[in-house]
Amino acid sequence: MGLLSYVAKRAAFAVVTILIIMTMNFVIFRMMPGNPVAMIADMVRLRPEQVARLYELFGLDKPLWDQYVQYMVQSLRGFYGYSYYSQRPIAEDIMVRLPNTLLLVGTATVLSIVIGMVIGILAAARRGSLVDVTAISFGFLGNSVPVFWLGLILLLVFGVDLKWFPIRGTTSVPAPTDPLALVLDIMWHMTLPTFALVIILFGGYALIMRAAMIDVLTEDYIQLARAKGLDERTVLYKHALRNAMLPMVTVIALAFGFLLSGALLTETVFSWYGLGRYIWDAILKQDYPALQGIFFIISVMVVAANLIADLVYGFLDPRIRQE
Amino acid sequence: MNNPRLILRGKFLLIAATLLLSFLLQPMATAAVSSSIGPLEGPYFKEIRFKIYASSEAEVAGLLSGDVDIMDFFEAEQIPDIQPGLTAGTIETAQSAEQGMWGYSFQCERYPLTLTKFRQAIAHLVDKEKYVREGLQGLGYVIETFIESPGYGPWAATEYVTFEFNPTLAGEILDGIGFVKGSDGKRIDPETGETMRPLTIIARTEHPHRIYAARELAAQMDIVGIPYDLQEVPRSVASPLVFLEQNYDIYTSGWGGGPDVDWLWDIFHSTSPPSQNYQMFKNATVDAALNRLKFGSTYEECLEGAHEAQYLLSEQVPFIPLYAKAYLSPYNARLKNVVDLPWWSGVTNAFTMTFATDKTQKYGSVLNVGWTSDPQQPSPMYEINWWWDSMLNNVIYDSLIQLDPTTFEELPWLAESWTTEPWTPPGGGSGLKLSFNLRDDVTWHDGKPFTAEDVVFTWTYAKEQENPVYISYLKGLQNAETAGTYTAVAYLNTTSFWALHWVGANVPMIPKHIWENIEDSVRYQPIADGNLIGTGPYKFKEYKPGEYVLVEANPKWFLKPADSTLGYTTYTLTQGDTKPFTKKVTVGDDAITNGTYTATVMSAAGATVKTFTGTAAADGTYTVTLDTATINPGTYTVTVEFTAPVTAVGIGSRDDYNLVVEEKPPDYTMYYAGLVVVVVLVAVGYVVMRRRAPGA
Amino acid sequence: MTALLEVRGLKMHYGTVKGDVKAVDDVSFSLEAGESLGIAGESGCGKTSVALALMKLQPGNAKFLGGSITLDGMNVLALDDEKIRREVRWKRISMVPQAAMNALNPVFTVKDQIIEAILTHEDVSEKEAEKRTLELLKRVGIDPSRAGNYPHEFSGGMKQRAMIAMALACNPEIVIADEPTTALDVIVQAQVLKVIKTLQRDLGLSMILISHDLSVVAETCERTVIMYAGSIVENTSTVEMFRHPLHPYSVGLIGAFPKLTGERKRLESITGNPPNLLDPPPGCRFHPRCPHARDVCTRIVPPLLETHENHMVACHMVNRHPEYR
Ligand SMILES: Nc1ncnc2c1ncn2[C@@H]1O[C@H](COP(=O)(O)OP(=O)(O)OP(=O)(O)O)[C@@H](O)[C@H]1O
Ligand SMILES: [Mg+2]
Repeated sequence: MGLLSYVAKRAAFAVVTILIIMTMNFVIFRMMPGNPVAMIADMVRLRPEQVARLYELFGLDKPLWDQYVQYMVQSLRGFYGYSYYSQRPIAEDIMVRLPNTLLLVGTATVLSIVIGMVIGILAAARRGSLVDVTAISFGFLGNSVPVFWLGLILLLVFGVDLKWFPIRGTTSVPAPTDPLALVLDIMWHMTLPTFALVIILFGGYALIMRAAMIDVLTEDYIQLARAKGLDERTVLYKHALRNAMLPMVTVIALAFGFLLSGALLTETVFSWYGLGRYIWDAILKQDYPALQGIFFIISVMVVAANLIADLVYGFLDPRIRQE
Repeated sequence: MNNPRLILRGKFLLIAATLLLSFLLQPMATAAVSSSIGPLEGPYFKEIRFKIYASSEAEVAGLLSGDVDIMDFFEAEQIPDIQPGLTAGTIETAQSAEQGMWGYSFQCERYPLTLTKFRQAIAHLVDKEKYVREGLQGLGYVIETFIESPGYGPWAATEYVTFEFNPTLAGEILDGIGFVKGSDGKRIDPETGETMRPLTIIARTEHPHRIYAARELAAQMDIVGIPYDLQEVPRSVASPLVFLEQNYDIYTSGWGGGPDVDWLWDIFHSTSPPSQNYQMFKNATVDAALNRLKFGSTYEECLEGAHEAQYLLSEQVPFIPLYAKAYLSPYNARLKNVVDLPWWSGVTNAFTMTFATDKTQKYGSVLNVGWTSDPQQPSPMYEINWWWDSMLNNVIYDSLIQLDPTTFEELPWLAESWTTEPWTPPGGGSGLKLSFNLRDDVTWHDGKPFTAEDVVFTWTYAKEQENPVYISYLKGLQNAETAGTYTAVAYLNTTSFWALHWVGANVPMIPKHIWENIEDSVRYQPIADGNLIGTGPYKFKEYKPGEYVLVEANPKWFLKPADSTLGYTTYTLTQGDTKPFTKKVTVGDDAITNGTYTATVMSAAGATVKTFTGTAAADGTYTVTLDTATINPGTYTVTVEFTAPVTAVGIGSRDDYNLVVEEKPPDYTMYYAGLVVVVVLVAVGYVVMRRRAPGA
Repeated sequence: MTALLEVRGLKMHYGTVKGDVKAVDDVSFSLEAGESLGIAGESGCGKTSVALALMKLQPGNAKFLGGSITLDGMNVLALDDEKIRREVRWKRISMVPQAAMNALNPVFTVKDQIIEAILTHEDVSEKEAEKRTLELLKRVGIDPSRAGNYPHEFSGGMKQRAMIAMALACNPEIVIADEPTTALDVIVQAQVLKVIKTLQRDLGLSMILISHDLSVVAETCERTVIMYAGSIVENTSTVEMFRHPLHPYSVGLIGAFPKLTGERKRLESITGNPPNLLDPPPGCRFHPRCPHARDVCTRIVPPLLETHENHMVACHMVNRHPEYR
């Protein structure tokens, strides 16, 4: 089977997966209790004609089948309908928040993967040592701390008491105009949320990395690499890591797949203007179209991340490349 | 705006006289409007920053750290969170009873709730004291009637029917109307002779006290043998059942009212839409009383209607008033003159924003308002009164009349005065002619003058567009016209006492030159076009979604204090910078060189911070240099004064400026250098590693 | 004259939660330059442990409790890791590990793995190293065009040959081949053994060949050492060993060994099982299985003594039972 047909098959599978997810996405949200117009009506006590207009706006006046077809067609065109809450197109809502999320969660994910991997490798190399035990306990601790609580503690200590970092937002109020100052301002605002995310995330990567490394380090080719007189660094980072990366690739790919939703609570605690906060708001306000839209995008990203993981796998492992 | 005032004597007398005259002729800042909370003048803040927080926890952290001065919502349960600030004295609180209430609504069209006796029986099952004690942890007040909170003063009924907590009595009443206990302890429906159907109680899960109340009632119903079906559901489930379908029996409802108590009509009048009168309560006697409340032409008549309606409602029990929550509103202790409005989010209201100030800096400080939501579509014409939009609208737009925040009496606002005359509508009947005499010193934020044209336009436009928010106020508007540039007249086919408020106080004025071209006023987003333009104390400045909204003081607002420095020329200097002022003084051909030229820097509180003395050159040029090296960052006023003993009194001039001294910004070259070093190190490291790592 | 490699009284135990595994106990032998030495013994008797100790590649839980390893007058055990790494491993002693099949890293090409060994120890250009690699591969009978393949693209025999090529990459003085042919079928086994033999002779290598398969040792090595339960029980020339084994264990082993060349004999198996090295029997470790065991054997560890010329054996009974000669 050629590489091309392999990729094509995988891609076709991915497309089918996405279509199924979309359908489920539609069905689940239609099955949810309640109805958005009523909620708005409650909030502001609308008159019947206004209620009718809202039904029309959200397409809720049509039969279910029409709604389904419309939903599928529009989703594929990149239109996810209007947010019940902001009443703006969801795609727009998502696009304005996307860069912030990519910046924060991307940075934090990369940092925690790098930190987690280094710690995992060191812990595996010195298995049972103080380094190992400390790193792994901290990893576990970070992994199990509730992020909202951690975020608030960070806010209270570094924001309220020490005043080293800001309490909210992506930029200062008002945002600086000088581009360099703006970049530094954003970095300053990013610090605490990134820190919180890294604390939460690195442990998982460290544990997986450590387990994979310990596995690989017992392999015969590692002993041979040592016998060859390679220094320990080369043994670890070249011979062992490359092999131990194989299980990590899937984990990393999934991390990027869930990038958009990865920082729900962190973004909320730190008032970061990103998609995580958008999802959180949408959940609280039961903004179904918004949730639908974002779930759709996340599914696509996860499926895509899986595809990419497969390709990277092939790059890392010649045995797979061959097939 | 510099205020040069030349003081001249002797041979300059003529000039002096002219100047004096022109000075006097300048429109003086109008005297403040007096109100129950003192003279109203403002604004004092140069800017309001509405900062958006994604969680109320972070917002409270902001309050503690001083990033937030006042906040949108605060629940009494959050008091422990702000305790550090209360202890340290950095946070103060305003406390009042909530102007609104919580209670049980009955769906009065569903048997057996159609029976007044039945509803009264249930009223005997309610131990309000206990609800407040346990359901609200004591943070509330028992309510007996419908317009009760202290804020409503005389509108509260003095006579009403109360139902003591007495389950036995309730049982007797039920027995009396045929709902006797069956063998299983459940009440029998006399119409069918079988166990009565269970009553659906709907309680919304987002408020623990509502759940408490619902369960308390259910427990008592158990005791007296009324079957029930208690549904604890989120708002999304409860709302359609109650507000759209009226498919419930008992609902733990809550409402808040504005200053004009004619809202009682909306809730209980039989012609009010079901989304508002979801009790489906229809009673001709109550309707008559409510009509007097809403359409009575005198205060006394409305008052009587209000009292009578409350009495009747308390007897009819379509709703059992339970309690009002204690409202506690924290604010940064640096503020003074905050205004606490129990019906509008405590201290976080347009009155505070406009009339409060900083204790140490009268003018030019910044007010930080914590928000937990983005605005949705700030516009005076938007169909939905989104809380946060309203907060913006309220400082950007003015109405003709303002209602006093505590007495609810009319205060002159855009209209200096008004007259109410009887008027006979063309089709007959009785009506009102309301004439508003407008201030002549008001301009829109874009500089255009505000005239009676704008007022007439606002009324007719809102009515033609059937604007959902204002249509009920403008329903009676028959005609509107200008009578001169500054008089607007409204003709109404109603004689209601409230009509003055409907057209004068409840409809904010919008500029004709912007809105006359807008076809769909409800959908229009003025913010997107920079068209969020009103006459109010603050001008819209910037909105950064998810981050903040900025509004800045309107230096031309009609209630601006006479000594306001807001809007003077502002020099913004970085600490260490200097700013020279020069002036050349000659009298005729003679250079005056014996004068003194000084620049005095004063703190916002009025204390002299530093005085600089200038030098004179032979040609009469004076130079004084303001040096900020020793001035701490902050906001100041600078007075540059010249005096020379040329005549008996001397000559002189005085210019005032605002001065902002900013902290030296960090030196970014270090960051650049650091960045370069890191990049070089990484590059070198990479090269070295590659060399040392042998093989592929 | 001292030997190239001299192992004296080497004692290495593995610490485990259950106690010490006495895997190498008082092992002594020497290896002359150009000599080929075979170490034979049952599975688990400590052959690999000895081999790894020679390069100080022992697992993390290993403890050296005594003895010395002298390479060309230099005490290997006393060297620090960095020195061993740079000067001993692969440069002077290389090895074909027991699991040569799995010893090639699956994610690098065969060629790159050999080049890596050369570049680690010699200051030559990558080109030069590649040239040498291809020559080496040719020498062990692998088509240089396959050099860029990944290990999984090689057959078992090819991997084994590639490992041998790699072992020779830095022109070591000593090559340790740990079960170089175990996983191969008989024909390939013979081919690989031939390659080893030829190379050893042509290059004048010293070699330690480890196998539980006596025929392999017999065919390849000049000298044979028999290990039992962590100790050497007999050490003599291969010819002597197969003609006149002295230790009852060796006798049993050789009796059980089907000669490749000779006709098949009935297996004279040794009764019982090798001891658990966590708690080996006192005295001679073979005594529970030994048909000639006496009281002394249960108490005193027999020393490895040169009882006959150029023939060392560790048995209390060896001279009392001339029938074994
Ligand atoms: N790391 C270790 N920890 C504990 N015990 C070990 C360890 N490595 C080996 N052993 C034990 O030490 C003994 C000797 O093992 P070694 O690998 O040296 O045997 P071997 O003679 O090479 O066997 P084989 O012919 O099966 O390869 C065995 O009993 C083995 O179980
Ligand atoms: Mg072995």
